[in-house]
Amino acid sequence: MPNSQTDKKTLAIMVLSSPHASAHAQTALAYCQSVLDAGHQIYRIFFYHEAAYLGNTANCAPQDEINLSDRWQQLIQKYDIDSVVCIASGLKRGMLDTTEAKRYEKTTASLSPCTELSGLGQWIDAVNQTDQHIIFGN
Amino acid sequence: MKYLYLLRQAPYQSSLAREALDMVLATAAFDQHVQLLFINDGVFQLQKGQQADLLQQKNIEKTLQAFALYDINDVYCCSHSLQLRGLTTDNIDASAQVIDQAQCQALIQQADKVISL
Repeated sequence: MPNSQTDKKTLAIMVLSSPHASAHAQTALAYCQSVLDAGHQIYRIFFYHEAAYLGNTANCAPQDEINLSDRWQQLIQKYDIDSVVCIASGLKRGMLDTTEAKRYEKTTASLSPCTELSGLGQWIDAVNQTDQHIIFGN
Repeated sequence: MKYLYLLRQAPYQSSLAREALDMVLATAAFDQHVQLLFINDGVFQLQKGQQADLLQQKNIEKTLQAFALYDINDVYCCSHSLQLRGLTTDNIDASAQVIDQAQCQALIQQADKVISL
């Protein structure tokens, strides 16, 4: 909700892009870091569409490249941000938590424990509750 | 809240057109007032006679038909986007109301939340 005391805003962030197909996911990460540095608040980050891959814990980047999934997870952990990987986007791209891995009889979970699988209601709630929503990458 | 979705994706180029429509239906299911504006390549989603089965895809026209069930009755299509792509009102689903650019601007201004996909 708008805060009349200061000019600080609450934001809902949606990311749509996978880590490697474009620069969008990296731009979004830099943006989130900047708004937090400026004292704004991120109410929730919602990973939708190809951005479900940003919740992956299994990817291994070469040593001289950044691991964007890890960077997102570090940001989420450091600032204790509420983050959601859309369950529909996530399941069809193999992003499973332990419950879903068991349900679909897969050998392992792939989703970072920093984030959770949930539905689009979490995004709509975030848009309704914040001053501004910003969508990266389409 | 009054939501306006700007739907800009061609129907079968990526899964985003379909995932955007999933978001539209979810928004309506959470009791928000939803309006839709098909614009840019999004106007191709409204084309009649899509043969998605040839692409082994789900037909997006079927989702369009579900709008009424979700109380989504304000469906608009940008006339300029149609014209640029050689389409006319005859080529698109009759449930969409074709509006000009000034009307598109007015639509965007009156919405509480604008989501562009």
